[in-house]
Amino acid sequence: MTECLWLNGIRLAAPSVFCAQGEDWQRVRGALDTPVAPAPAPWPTCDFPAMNQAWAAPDPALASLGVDRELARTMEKQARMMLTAACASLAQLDPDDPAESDEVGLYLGLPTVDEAVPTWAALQGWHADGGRAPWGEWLMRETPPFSGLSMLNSSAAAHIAATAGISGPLAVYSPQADAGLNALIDGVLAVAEGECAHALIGAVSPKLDPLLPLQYGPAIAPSLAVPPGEVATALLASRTASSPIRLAGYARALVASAGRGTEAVAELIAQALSMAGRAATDIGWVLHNQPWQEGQATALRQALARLNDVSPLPTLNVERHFGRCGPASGLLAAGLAHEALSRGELWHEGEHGLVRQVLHGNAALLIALAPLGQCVVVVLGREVL
Amino acid sequence: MSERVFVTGLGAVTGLGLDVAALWQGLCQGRSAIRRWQPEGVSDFPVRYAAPVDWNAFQCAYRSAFWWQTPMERRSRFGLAAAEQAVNDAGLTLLAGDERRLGVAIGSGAPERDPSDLLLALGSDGPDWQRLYRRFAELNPNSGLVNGNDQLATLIARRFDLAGPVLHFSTPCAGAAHAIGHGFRMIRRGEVDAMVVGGADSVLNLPTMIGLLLLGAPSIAEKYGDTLCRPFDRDRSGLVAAEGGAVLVLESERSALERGARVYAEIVGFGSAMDAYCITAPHPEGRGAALAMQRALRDAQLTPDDIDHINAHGTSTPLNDPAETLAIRQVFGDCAGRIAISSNKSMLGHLIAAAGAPECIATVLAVRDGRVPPTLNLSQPDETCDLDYVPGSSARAMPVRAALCNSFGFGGLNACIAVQRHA
Repeated sequence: MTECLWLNGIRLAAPSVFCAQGEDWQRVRGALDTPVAPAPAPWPTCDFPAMNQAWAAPDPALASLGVDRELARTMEKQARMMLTAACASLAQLDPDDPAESDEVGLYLGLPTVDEAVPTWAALQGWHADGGRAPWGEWLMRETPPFSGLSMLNSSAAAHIAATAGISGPLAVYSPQADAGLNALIDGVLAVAEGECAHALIGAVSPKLDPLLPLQYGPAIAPSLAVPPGEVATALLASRTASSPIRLAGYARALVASAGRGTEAVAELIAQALSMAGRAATDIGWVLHNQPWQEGQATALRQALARLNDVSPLPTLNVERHFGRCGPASGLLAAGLAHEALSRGELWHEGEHGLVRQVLHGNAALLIALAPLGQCVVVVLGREVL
Repeated sequence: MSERVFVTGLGAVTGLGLDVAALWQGLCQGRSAIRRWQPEGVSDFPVRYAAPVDWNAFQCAYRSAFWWQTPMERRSRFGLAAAEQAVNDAGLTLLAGDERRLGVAIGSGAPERDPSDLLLALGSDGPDWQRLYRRFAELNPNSGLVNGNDQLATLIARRFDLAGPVLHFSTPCAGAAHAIGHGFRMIRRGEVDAMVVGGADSVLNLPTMIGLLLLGAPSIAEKYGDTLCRPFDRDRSGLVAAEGGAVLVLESERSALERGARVYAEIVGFGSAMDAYCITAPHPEGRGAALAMQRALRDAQLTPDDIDHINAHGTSTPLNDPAETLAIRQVFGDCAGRIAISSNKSMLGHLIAAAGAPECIATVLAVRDGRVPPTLNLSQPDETCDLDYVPGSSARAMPVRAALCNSFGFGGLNACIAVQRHA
């Protein structure tokens, strides 16, 4: 194994979270001990049973961040959540190590913005008007003035930059589960390659919207369906952070062929471990998102079984407990792994629900699977400082 | 490990034509793709000009492609066609290597939405979500509602059996530039041997154009007819929207040499930066733009003296052009006045998230051919835009040792690519 030395010294710190289960890690850990049941989804019943429930996060108040109400109204909820989590992580920058604003980069995993076009109210109005006005003319008249802003998912990045006053390098990845871990990888690389001193890394789920059942429902194998959840999470990558947690290895690829899915996922795990200079026995916890198709689920199960065929590694399917959360799933897994590696405890999928147990090993394996086949594997490691 | 990164394949579908030759000849000859345009569904849309792809010609050229019947957004068709051109141009021996070391990075913008999808919800009692849920099979299969915006990147990978990393970038008008820049970085650090990179976008649909119009981005000027896109001119009045796709094959020096690939030019640096200023306007002094250029130069280990040409973002908006001019002055100081700066958007229009891709191709060919395209319609100099923008209607022949290509995204998300002549 050849450890990737140039990733050494980049620490992951200040993880933040904003979701239905809580707005800090203590509450989120509590929700793993005592799971929070999803609530009825905020849309009419549909034919996809899992989509009739959801985990809805509260709508964040942005006044404390200095964002006025008028500006906040131009943001979609997912942008407000992302801004909140990003600022929470940024606030934890070491005050003894003040960063120049152009030394803080931003790497985000963002979903697209799902919103009825035209708005539902416009559609109702058109119907009430008897459909007399030409449809296009009505659409023109009723489109909200800032729809061009709010429908652009990357507006979240611009809002974070303007609110936090950071002008370092950036990248925005979209729209699925791989996006969050790609943001993590490239944020850490930006620090490792000297582009910036600190990388603010974040990801968010799509906001709950009545369009979600149309997008998720038909795309997911019924046996793999889980309710959607709203999650935003962020962390910092930095050379100067005192955290012992770091990104030790990664691998990413398109797993296009269902026929060799197991081999492909197993190869990615092996590559990431090799880069990290770790063995399978170093892995104390595996965290992954919910697969989309049966073939993906089989490939993941078999690849993990190959990793340790004597006794299965403790595993957490993040989306089963927090909801289908798109780009946020990988970074939520990173935040949970950060907590586990720092505190020495984890939650394992037991026969009767989640079981809290002691973490053995000094690394966590994160796996994100996207519906179109992108797969990203990350190894987070703990080291003695 | 630090690999040199060569450009070995190009492909483009734009308003200037369906291939790279049409793009490059059009730009060098000062030909404009901007024409009278009206979106479907409205009789008197205030935006009257755009730079569309010739859809009839595009259909004739590609309707026999095996992927034509696959549901996908309009922009994905342009992008897939451009990717086929680029990979063929690079030579199919590119695909003989380890498919796990060949990846894709694409930038595109907001999904193309079909507003008539929502009409499926209407009944005699008004709109009803449950009615729409029951009729999901009737949704437009080519709309962005049912196609993720990473679809094009994965379609390209599957088309050529590429099994390396597949990434999608979403940084509005700098999306393609980010895809190219990160693809470059992945090869340079040895993560992959080659990347198919670029962007595709089509905003020429009613919902997106309404959104842009409400933000005041497109020009609605009547005075100049189809010459209304006037970057750096005193009478510039807004962007002119366009559509299309453009793709480059980037390859490590080792891979290119091993298979004897033709090299167009070398990508030597990439820089990005945020304005940290305002969601709807660029920083008035081009702070983020300047930082992106400085970072690209530093990344490339080039100095301002080394740069002969800048392919400007040059949107023809009142705010961008003077801010970009100030940024160039700030970065290049005394050298700024001798640099040939041109805006391809004066001819191509603004391809929004894809803009950086055809403009990077033009930068690559400017370096290779020693020809800098003009900035069309620049007839009345503006005192706030006081550099050499290559006015006129034909390319300037001049040696170009190295060049920068700027892309500045909405909300101040900026990117810059450094290209150098291959020696």
